[in-house]
Amino acid sequence: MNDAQGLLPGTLDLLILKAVSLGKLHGYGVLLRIQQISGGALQIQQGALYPALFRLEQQGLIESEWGTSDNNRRAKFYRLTAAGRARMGDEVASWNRLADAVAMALRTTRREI
Amino acid sequence: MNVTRLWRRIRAAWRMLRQPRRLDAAMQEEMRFHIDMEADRLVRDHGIDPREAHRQASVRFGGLERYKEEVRDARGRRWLDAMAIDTKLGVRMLVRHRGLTLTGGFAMAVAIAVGATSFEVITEMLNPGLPFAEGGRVVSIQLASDVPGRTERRLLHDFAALREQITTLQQLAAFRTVQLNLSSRNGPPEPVRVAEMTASGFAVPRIAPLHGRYLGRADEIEGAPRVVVIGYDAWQSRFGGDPRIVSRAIDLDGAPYTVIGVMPDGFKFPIDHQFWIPLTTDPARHERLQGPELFVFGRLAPDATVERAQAELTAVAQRDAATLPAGQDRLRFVVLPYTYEHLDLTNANLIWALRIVRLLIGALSFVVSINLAVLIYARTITRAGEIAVRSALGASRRRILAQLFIEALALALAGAFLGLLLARAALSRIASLSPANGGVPFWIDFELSAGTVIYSVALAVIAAAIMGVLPGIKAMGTNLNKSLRELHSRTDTRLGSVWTTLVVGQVAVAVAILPMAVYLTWQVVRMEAAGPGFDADAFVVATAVLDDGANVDPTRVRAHQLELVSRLQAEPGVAAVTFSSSVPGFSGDRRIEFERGVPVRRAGALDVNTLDVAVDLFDTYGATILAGRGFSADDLGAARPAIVNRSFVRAFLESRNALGLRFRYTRPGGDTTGQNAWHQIVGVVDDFPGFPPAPGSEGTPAVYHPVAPGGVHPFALSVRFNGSVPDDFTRRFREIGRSVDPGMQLRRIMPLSELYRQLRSFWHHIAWGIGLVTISVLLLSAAGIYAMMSFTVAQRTREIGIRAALGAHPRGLLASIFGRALGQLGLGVLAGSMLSGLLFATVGLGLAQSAALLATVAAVMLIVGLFAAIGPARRSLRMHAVEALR
Repeated sequence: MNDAQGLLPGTLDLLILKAVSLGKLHGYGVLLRIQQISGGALQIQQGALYPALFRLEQQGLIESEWGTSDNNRRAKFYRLTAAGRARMGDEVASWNRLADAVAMALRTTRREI
Repeated sequence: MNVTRLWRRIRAAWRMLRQPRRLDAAMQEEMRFHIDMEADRLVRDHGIDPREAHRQASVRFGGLERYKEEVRDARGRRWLDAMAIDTKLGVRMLVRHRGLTLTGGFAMAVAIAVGATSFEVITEMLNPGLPFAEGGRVVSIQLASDVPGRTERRLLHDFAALREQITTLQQLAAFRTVQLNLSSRNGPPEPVRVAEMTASGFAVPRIAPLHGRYLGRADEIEGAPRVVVIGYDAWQSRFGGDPRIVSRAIDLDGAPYTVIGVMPDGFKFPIDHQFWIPLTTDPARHERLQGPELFVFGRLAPDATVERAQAELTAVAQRDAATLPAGQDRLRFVVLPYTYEHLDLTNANLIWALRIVRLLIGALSFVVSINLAVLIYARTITRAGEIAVRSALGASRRRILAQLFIEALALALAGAFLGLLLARAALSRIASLSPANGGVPFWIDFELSAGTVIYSVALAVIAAAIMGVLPGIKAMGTNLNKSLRELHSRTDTRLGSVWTTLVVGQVAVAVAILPMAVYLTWQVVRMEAAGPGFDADAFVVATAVLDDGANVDPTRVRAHQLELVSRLQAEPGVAAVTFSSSVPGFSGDRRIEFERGVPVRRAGALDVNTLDVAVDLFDTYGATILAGRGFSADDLGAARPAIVNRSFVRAFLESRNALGLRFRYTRPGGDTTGQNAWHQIVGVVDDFPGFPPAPGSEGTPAVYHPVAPGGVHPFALSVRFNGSVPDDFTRRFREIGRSVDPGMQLRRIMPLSELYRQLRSFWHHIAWGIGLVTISVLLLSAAGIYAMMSFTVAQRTREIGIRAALGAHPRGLLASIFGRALGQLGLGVLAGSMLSGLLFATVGLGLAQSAALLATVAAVMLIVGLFAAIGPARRSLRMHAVEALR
C-alpha cells in the first residue's frame, strides 16, 4: 500500500472497488479509471494494482474473466460482486465519516474550543 | 482465522499446487498487457519512440518480479513455502534424532495398528446396514424368552401366522442353514452349506439373478419339483462357469435338484451362502414352538419404522397370549437390525460396551502420544535457545508452534502409515482365519475402509498436536532473554516438581504395566510352544453325520460306523482307527457335582469337558494311564465307569487319589439330571492334547466315558497313520464315505495338526498383538526414563561443573547426582509395584507368582535410569570451571 503515491493506507482497495463498480475493466483500465475519476490527482504505482486485484478477487469482492480488449488483445476483465458492492458501501460510509471528522477538526477555530 | 478464510487459503494453495505454471503464465500475460497498453499510450500521446515508450512503461509499472511475488503470496504460496520448509525441517529432525524417531515411530505404529484394526472390526460389526439398496431397513424378528440371551427359534408356526398379519414389514421371510452333500461327476461328495429359505427371502435384498430366476412361491409348495439356486462362486468353482448350468440337475444328498438360477458375484445373502433351496416345511404339521429352528427377517414397509414394527408385533403377541398354553405367553417378539441378530449383538449393553471399547482402544494412541510428548519435551527444551533466536528474528509464536507441530506430525504420520500397513496385514489375517471358524457374514468386509484411514490420520494429527504443540507451549513459556543467554551454554532450565512428577509417573506406569504385559506374552508363548504331546501330524480327523437330522437310527449308525472303521483300517499306511463324540481337546462343557463327603478344592460350579470315546481311543492316541486302568470292552455295560484327566484331579482334588470317587452331572441351575446317574472314576489319564486351551490355563478338566459303536451321533473319526499321511487321503476318505452311504456327510476332514493349528490360531495372533504392544511399551518406557534421567542430570551440568572446579570431591558429587535420580526412580518403582500388584490380583495371581517378574522389570528400569544418568554426570565432572561459568 505504501507503493501508492499519495494514498492513505487502505484506500487503494476502495478505489479499485469504485472503479470496477462503474463497469467491467481490465487491470490497465482500472488504473486509467482511477486517474480519470480522481481528476488525475491520485498517482498509483502501477504494479501495486495487481497484488491488490488478486487479493480482492480472493476475498470474493471482485471476479474476473478473460475477454478481448478494444485493441483486440486478450485481457483479464474484473467485475464487482454482490459481496464487493456491500463492502464498498461500508467502506464509503466509513471513509465519509473519517473525512467529515477530519474536516470538522480542521475547521475548528480557537473560539470554538 | 475463521473457517471461510482458512478454506479459501487451502483452496488457493491447492490451485497453486495443482496448476502453478498455468496461473503464473496468466499473471505474466496480464502484466505484459498492462505494460504494452501503457507503452501504446506513451507513443500515441507523447510521440515517444516505441522502444523508449516500452522502457518507460516498464519503469512506471515498477519491479515486475516483485509484484509477481506479491501476487503469488496473495495466492497463498508463502503459506505453502513455509509449510514446505517446516516439513523439510521436520524430516531432518526425524533423521537427526534417530533413536527418538525409531522408538516413537514404532510405538505410534503399534498404537495406530491396534486402534485401526479394532476400529475397522468393531465398526463393521456395529454397522446395522446391509450393503444393498436400503439395506438398513432389513430387520430380524426374534422370539425372546424370559431367560436372558436365550431365544426361541422354532418359529415355523409364528412365521406362518405373522406372514398373514403384519403390515409394517414387507416380504417377511425365513431361512435355516443345512449341510447337504454335493456330488459332482468328477469327485466324491462334499458337504456344502445350503440356505433353506422362503422365496420371499430373495425379494428382501432386491438383487436380480445373473442367469435364470430365483425361487418363487410355487417352489415352496410341498411336492413341487426340487430346485436350487446357486451363487456365482459356486458356479465358477464347482461347475466351471458352465453357461448351460440353468435347468441342469445337480446332486444334493443323493437327490437331483434342478438349477433354476445363478446369483451375481458377491451375493451371499442371507449370511455366507452359495446354495439356496426352498423352505417347504408345512406349518400345519407342527405345533407352535415345534419344527425346525428358523431365522425370521423382513424389510420395513416404506412408511414403517423399527418402533412401529415392534409395536405391531407386541400387539399381535398380546392378542395371541390369551389363547396360548401356560408358559408360552411369556415369549415376546423383538425387532432388531438384521446384522445384529447374526452377530449376537442382541443386547443394548453389549453394543454400548463395544462402542466404549472402540473409544478406549483409540485412546491408546493418546497414551502413547502423551508419553512421546514427554520425550519430545526433553528435546524441545534443549532447543530453547534456537527457538529464542527465531523469536528474536521475528518469527511469530504461531509460526514456531506450527513448525513444532509439523515436526511431530511427520513422526506421527510416519507411524500412522506403518500402523495402517500393520492393520491391513492383521485384517487380512483375521479374514483368512474366519472361514475356519464358521465363515464371515457377507456384509463384513475386512479391507481397510476409508473411514478407518481417516480415523487413523485424525488420531495421528491429534497425537501430533499433543506431541508437538504442548511441549512447544511449555518451552516457549520460558524467558526469552534467559534462553538467548543459554544459547552458548548448557541448558539451565529448571523444571522443578512437574519434571519430578513426570519421571516418577513414567517409571510407575512402566513398572505397573510391563510385568502384566510380559506375563501375558509369556503365557501365550508357552501355550504356542506346547505341543499336543503326541504326533498330531500322523492323525487325520473328520466328523461323520448321517442325514443331518436328530432322529437317526442307532443301529444304522452302528452299521455305518463299523463299516467305515473297517474300510479305513484296510487302507495302506493306516495304523489304527477310532471314534469319539468329538475330536479330543475340543468337546462341550458340562457341570458336575461330587458325592457328598468328597473334599473338593474349588467352591461353586465344576465345569468339565466331556467326551464319549471308543474303548481303544487312549491306545490309539498313546495317552498314558497315570492311575487305575483304561477302558475295556467290559466297561460298555451298565456300571457307568469314567476316566478323568490329570487336570481334573489337579483342579478339583488337589492331586489326591481320585480312584473310586463318584460324581454326577447337573444342570446349570443345580438340578441333577437323574438320581441314579452316578459315575465312578476308574482311571486317570494324562492330558491329551497337552497344550493349555487358553493362556494362563493349566489345562482343562476332562471326563471320558466309554461308548460302543453306534452310541454317539454325529461321531468324530480319528485315523492314525504309521508314517506320514498320503497326499490324496482326504479324497480317498470321501470316496469310502460315499461307498458306505452316499447321504453320509464327512465334515472337516483334515490332519489333526491342521485342526489344532486353526483352532489355536486365534491365540497365535493375540500373542503377536500382545508381543508388539509389550515391546512398544517397553521401548517407550525405557526411552522415556532414559531421556528424563539424562536430561535431569544434564540440567545440573553447570552446577556440578562449578562445584567440581571449586574442589568438591567427585564421589560426593556423584552421590548427590545419583541420590536424587535414585530417589525419583525408587519412588516410581514403589508406586508402580503397588499398581502392578493390584493388576495381578485382578487376574487371580498372588504376589509370590508375580514378585519375580516385578523385580526383573523394576531392576531393568532402574538400570536404564542409572545408565542414562552416567553419561551427563561424567561430562559435567570433566568440565572445566571456565566452561562451566560461561
